[in-house]
Amino acid sequence: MLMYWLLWRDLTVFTRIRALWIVMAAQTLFLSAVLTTWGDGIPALTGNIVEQFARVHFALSVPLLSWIAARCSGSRQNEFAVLAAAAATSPFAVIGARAISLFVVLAIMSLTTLPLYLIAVRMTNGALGDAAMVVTNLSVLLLFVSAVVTTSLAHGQTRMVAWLGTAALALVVTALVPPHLLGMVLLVLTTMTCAAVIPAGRRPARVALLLTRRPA
Amino acid sequence: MIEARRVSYALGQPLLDDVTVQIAAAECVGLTGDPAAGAALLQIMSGVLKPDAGAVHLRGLAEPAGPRDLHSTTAFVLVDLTSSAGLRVDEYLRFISRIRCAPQSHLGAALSFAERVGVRRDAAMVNLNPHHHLIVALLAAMTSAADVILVDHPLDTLDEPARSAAKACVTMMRGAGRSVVVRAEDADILGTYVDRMIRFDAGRAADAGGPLVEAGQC
Repeated sequence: MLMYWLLWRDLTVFTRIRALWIVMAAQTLFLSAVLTTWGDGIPALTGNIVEQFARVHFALSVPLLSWIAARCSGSRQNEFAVLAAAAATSPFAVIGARAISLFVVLAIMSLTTLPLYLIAVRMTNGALGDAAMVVTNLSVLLLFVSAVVTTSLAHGQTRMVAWLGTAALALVVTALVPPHLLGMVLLVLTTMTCAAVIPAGRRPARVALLLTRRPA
Repeated sequence: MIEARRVSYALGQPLLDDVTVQIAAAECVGLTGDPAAGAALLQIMSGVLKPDAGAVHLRGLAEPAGPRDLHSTTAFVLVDLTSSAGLRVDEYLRFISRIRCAPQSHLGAALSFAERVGVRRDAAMVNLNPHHHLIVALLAAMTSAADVILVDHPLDTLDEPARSAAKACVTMMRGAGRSVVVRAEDADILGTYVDRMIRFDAGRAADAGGPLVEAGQC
């Protein structure tokens, strides 16, 4: 029940952020335009339409997903500690709920691009295997972005740092790692990020809450 | 009801130094003096902070209470938009009520009280003025099933209508057998709320007006 209500709170707040819906619509429109304009293949990119479309999609969505994740999270550095105090629970529960709810929001945002992949598969006369790999990689990428942004904020970083750091890391990984290994590499990095949240769950409650109340 | 026993806490400088504070059932106690010391004590009693030394005991038990016991027994009232931003008043109260597994009747009473003091239940929390925000924070504590309400915000800074509402809220909570601990800056105004006051000075606690007592009981 605790997790249910924490998720309910986060998702209720997130769905009221107008920027989320604007970015989602803009991303879908832009990718639709790409597919419509370069249906025969994007110049300067190799591979079939699905692979080319996936490259454009990842290059666009990595900074966007990271930004949306950071934008949806609170602006205060001690947010997790304050929320845990108000809800009378441990910061770990709040951090965990935040990571899950960010994943849900990013998944909803990414779902709008799935029909475009189906169109791309039809254009290439059935590169279904490539599309399945892209969807798998995208799912792990969402996990990665949610985990890294949440961990950065739990460690007291600002939203800007969380956004830029996550986007830079994800862009480097997606550019350097071949597509068939990308999912596994991101999964390993996500697991390492989840381990890094443990000290963050203990620290912010102790420091951040009290610091805001110290006399000048 | 709740006792912080020989508690010490430092953050750069000592905030609490071997302090013992006992709060009885349905008692209302005010904390004055060093605001950081009062905030630290409230956060230790609520289980948010772990003291450097000493422990918190509940209901006279010899065993120190763990964070889980403290979370379920106390409600920490913090005026901060972080936990309520993006929600309406009724949504926020429902969130706190559900997450703390409180009876439905508590939520109904809190919503009725909010409307009586001029806080609309469909108002966005971010649009509330600071006075109404504190009232809603107090009501959130009221909706929980907690026995001890710890108010980490000076009630004496409220305007007159909000102060009356806060006082009514505190009276209702005490009527239900709950203990209330409030922090305040103006001891005169605080005196109208509380049964007794504790003053913090240089890490030590004393009954307000009395001499400082070393490791003494308040």
